[in-house]
Amino acid sequence: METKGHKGLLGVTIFASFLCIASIVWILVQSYYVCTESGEGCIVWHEKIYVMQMSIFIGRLLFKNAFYALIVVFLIKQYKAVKNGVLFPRVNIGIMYTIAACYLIGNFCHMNFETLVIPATEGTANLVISTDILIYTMLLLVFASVYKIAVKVSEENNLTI
Amino acid sequence: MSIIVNVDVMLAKRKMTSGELAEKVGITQANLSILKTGKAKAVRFSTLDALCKALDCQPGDILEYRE
Repeated sequence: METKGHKGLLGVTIFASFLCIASIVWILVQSYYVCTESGEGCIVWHEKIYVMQMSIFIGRLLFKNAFYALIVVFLIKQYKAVKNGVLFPRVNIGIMYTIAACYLIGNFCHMNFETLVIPATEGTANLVISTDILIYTMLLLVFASVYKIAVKVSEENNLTI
Repeated sequence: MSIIVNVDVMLAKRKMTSGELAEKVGITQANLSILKTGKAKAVRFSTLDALCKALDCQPGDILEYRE
């Protein structure tokens, strides 16, 4: 039963890690393409909103990649901990909070990427944020808080003789 | 914490080593050390029962409340 659970967790870890790494590669390639090439779908820099464009571009590149990378780190640490008999490793609490922050900033930048970095009309900067992103971020924060409680309970349980 | 675990005192009274007690109670020496140093968050009744049996004493001899 335990081995089956471990195998399932390993399978999920490998599959999710593969997806995350593929997403990182995709974002890197896309960012390189929209920066170096010209034409449809590529960056049109405008002086008036240059700082904002650059912030959105770098924010998306950094935080989306950090989001995926942290998920991989979280899954690997979780798998290793479970393998060593620890159900909720303390190190994952910080990672979960960071994932939530990266998700919020990364997706905010991603949402505004096409409208701001590749604007149809010159120099218009209307930043938008969807309620979905805020709700998912709140959900991630709730999970992180529950995880934090679980870590505490698990540690107390280990100190019950 | 105001609860003091007097396993050391009882071990000395019974002239028993930690290893012997751990073996009799069925816990690891590391867990017995956690208990002795007061780092334990809780003690199971089954552990307390085994401790009392091994040390031939009452729970009150092992646990003490100090303000």
